[in-house]
Amino acid sequence: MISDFINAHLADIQNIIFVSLLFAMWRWGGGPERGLAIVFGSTIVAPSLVFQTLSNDIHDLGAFSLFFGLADAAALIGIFLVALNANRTYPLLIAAFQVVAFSSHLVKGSVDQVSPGAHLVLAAVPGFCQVALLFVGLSLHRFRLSRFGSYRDWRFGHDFHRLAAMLSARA
Amino acid sequence: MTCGAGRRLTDRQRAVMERIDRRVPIKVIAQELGVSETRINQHIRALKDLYDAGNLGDLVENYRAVHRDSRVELLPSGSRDPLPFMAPVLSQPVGPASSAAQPSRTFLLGEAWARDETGSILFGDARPFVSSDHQAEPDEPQLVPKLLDGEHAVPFRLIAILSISACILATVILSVNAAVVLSDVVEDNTALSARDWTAPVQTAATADCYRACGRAR
Repeated sequence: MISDFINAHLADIQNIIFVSLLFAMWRWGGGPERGLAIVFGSTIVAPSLVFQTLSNDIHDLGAFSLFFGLADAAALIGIFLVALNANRTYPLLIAAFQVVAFSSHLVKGSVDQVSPGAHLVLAAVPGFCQVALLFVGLSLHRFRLSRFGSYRDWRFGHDFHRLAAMLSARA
Repeated sequence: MTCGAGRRLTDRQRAVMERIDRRVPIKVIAQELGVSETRINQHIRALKDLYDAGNLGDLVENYRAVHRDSRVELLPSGSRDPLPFMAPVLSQPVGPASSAAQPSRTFLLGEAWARDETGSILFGDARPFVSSDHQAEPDEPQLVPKLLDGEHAVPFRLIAILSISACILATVILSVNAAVVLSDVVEDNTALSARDWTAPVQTAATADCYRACGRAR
């Protein structure tokens, strides 16, 4: 019975877990964690909600492919901004997965022989890996805070002092 | 926020707190004080209760807020102030004179400045002066390689990201190809073994029959 319930509401459960993770990152994370929460919330959660509001039919995904491609492009820019300036390692891995996901959109748009299933796998599977990396990164951040106290959120020599200060400011 | 200002620290608690303020790792604190890390963690828990802190960062903040207003002895009157531009913020003189020969007064000197008994300035917190220094604090954990930290880290980080994504794509392609090849091999083996199972016992009559069937095909 529990497995039937989970199977029936798998998408909703995944959304709840993901939104809870984003909230935890905003509440208990440092500057890079909050930056990634903003990027993921605005480029992944918001487009999904828009799609579910306008058309909840899986067959209409193709019509929204350009919209999701642009959302992935915006996510790529935001994740790169964090990954190139954060004093963390896991944003580099998240950025690498985003490159894989975004490149699948580029290949699908330029090559006709790509099957929709392959495109869907390459575009969607990196998201699961990114969610796992977000959870691991937040956990390691809390562990380091408890062990060493506060430490730098951003690398030396970055040029986004005001934005970094806003993201790193305590709630 | 109650900062535990009215509570006294034991010598050991004070020693631990001062080292935490300087971002010394717990392991090093334990080594310096000659006790176990478990004991240090117990002291830290007690300090968190005293200063109403939930984590080490809050503990340091609350500790500094309590000890920010350093009350120190001024130089005896008549002695030359080595730093005349340091205009102290005067407060009401507090406390009795330390001795009859040298009546002393205490003044608030501001947040980051304090003086010891000889009048030399003590840097209570040098953090504002090292914010532009591109060197990590010695006690700070190193999270990224030094090549990926600093002013010229962007190209190296880009190379790292692209290399990792290439490895991911290569892994996916290799895995898919391996799965396809393995499935072909398994299917061939299954077909071969099925043929062996259905082959009947060979007799002369059946051999003639097979030859005839084979010729007909």
